[in-house]
Amino acid sequence: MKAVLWYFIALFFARRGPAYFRGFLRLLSVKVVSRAISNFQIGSVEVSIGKSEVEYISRLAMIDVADDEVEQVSAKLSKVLDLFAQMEAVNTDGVEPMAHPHEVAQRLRADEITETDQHEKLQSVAPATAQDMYLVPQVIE
Amino acid sequence: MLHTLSVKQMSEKLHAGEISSVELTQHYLDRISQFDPELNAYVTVTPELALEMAREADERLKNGTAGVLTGIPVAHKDIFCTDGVKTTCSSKMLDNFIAPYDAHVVTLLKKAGMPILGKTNMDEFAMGSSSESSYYGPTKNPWDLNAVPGGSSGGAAAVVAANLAPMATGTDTGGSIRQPASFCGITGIKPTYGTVSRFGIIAYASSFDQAGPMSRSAEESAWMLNAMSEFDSRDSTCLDMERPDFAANLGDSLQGLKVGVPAEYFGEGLDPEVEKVVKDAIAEIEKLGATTVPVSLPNKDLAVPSYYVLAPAEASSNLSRYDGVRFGYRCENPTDLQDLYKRSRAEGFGAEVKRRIMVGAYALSAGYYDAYYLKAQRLRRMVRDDFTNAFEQCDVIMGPVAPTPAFNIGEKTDDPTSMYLADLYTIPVNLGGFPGMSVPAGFANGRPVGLHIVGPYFSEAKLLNIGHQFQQVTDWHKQTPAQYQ
Repeated sequence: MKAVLWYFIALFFARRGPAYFRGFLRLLSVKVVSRAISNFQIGSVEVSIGKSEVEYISRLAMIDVADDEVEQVSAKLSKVLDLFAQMEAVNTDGVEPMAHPHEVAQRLRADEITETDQHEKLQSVAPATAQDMYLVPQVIE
Repeated sequence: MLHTLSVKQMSEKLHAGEISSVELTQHYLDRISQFDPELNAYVTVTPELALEMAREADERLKNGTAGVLTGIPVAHKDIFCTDGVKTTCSSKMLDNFIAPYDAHVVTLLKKAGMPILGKTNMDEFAMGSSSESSYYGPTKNPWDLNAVPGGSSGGAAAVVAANLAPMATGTDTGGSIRQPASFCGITGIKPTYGTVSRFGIIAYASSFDQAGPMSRSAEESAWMLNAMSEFDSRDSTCLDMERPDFAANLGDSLQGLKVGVPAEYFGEGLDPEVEKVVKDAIAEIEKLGATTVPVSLPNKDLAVPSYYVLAPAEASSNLSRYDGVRFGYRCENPTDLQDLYKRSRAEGFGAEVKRRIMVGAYALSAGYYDAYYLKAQRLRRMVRDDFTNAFEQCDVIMGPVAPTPAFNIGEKTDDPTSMYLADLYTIPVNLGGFPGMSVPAGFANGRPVGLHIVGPYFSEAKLLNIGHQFQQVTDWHKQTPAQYQ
């Protein structure tokens, strides 16, 4: 029954594209690892991030990672993820996620204009502008 | 020597007309030119602005519209947007950024009449515990130039400790006011989340970020917190409630105070000399009428991993605004829009900032969201509940701020996680959103050590009262490194 469930989960991720499928594989490995911990009481798990994952993260974060930096970046990210692995062993069943210290409702205000037009001042710190617009490299051929 | 006066004495002399704010401000500007080259605690010094504001303060002192802090100079952490002044967050990304408006804290302290001496150095985007990740180079600890001043508000702590400003603003996301205050032997308080407006404070992790005062004494911090805390509708998480007078209870007796001492805060990894200083300080507070009760914070070890998932996740979202388009650094000759984004960010951010953005983006990405982000949020609640339960048995919790005194420059830069783990006592307080304070309590290996006092929500006045009473019977907060006396 569980295998059937995992098959559908895999299908769901695979249909949404390769990035999602990679996410699924990662999720599966976390599941397997956490099961390994609960079954065999393994203290800690080494997590390592490969070159393809560094490229994936670089794309998510929109931060270029040069080829000669990949190794160092992956080593340091892996260390941080090792720290995260400590969370897996903790039973959090029934604990509600806490997003914020104060459980208060979002304040709303009347839909009225409160700011005056300051585009000149705000655009004065932009790297490149023309005719009150921000300039970027050509997007449409 | 003007800088050896307490803020209270300065204020009395200003009001009595014995000194002028221009005189006082110029004295600090002179000290900055003399000593800051070796400390590197300021990113920007603003002498013209300072003196202009000092002249206005002198007017107010003459015409009777002055308050207790009018004419007292202040240094702002370079995370507070300051209209017309370079505001860098110690990043190359914002090296050319002239803030087009004031943070609400800056507005309030201008209203209080505090001349701005300049902007203090910090860890880049407040991500760090040593002020070493600044684009402008590390700040040095005035007590020992080989040591870090702590971080991320390391410049703020250093300028107060070295008498290069009588007061400074700081921000605390995971300990960034309390740990540098401890490392530099000054007083600093992180108020309850939502007490001080975050408007115009460059965002790191929005559900944790909170600003607070840094000064020599608890009394001075109480005055400054009064001046910088007010409801502000422009910060959606700023609490819409009346602020108390944080200085009103300073003189209260500590008779009957119940101090919770968590065994978990005195375990493995705590430097024995730091432990002794902290225990001696608690004993001193007992002499003032307090009693101690053992309390337990069983999930203490979960705080660091939880924080280092959640804060980077929030950072990856907050720092997406640095795109090379609207403000900040832009790479040369981008080939297309994506190249513009990716290279501007790769070249504009330092290593630790990039690491946290990447970790955060990863933790939020499809497939890992439940395993990392939601899991970390569940742990956040468990850590918070530990404190809530403990506060049923005690009024405040006391312990160390950091496991060691200030470490050496370069000692922890190779292994980011070793620096993360040193935040183990401060981070749980940010996860819960509780107020926390560091008060100078002694020295270990010749470097200052702070006593960490944590209270339930909205207990700032109580924490400041305890700090003030402790400072009536101790003089750690009055000590200054020999070369800066």
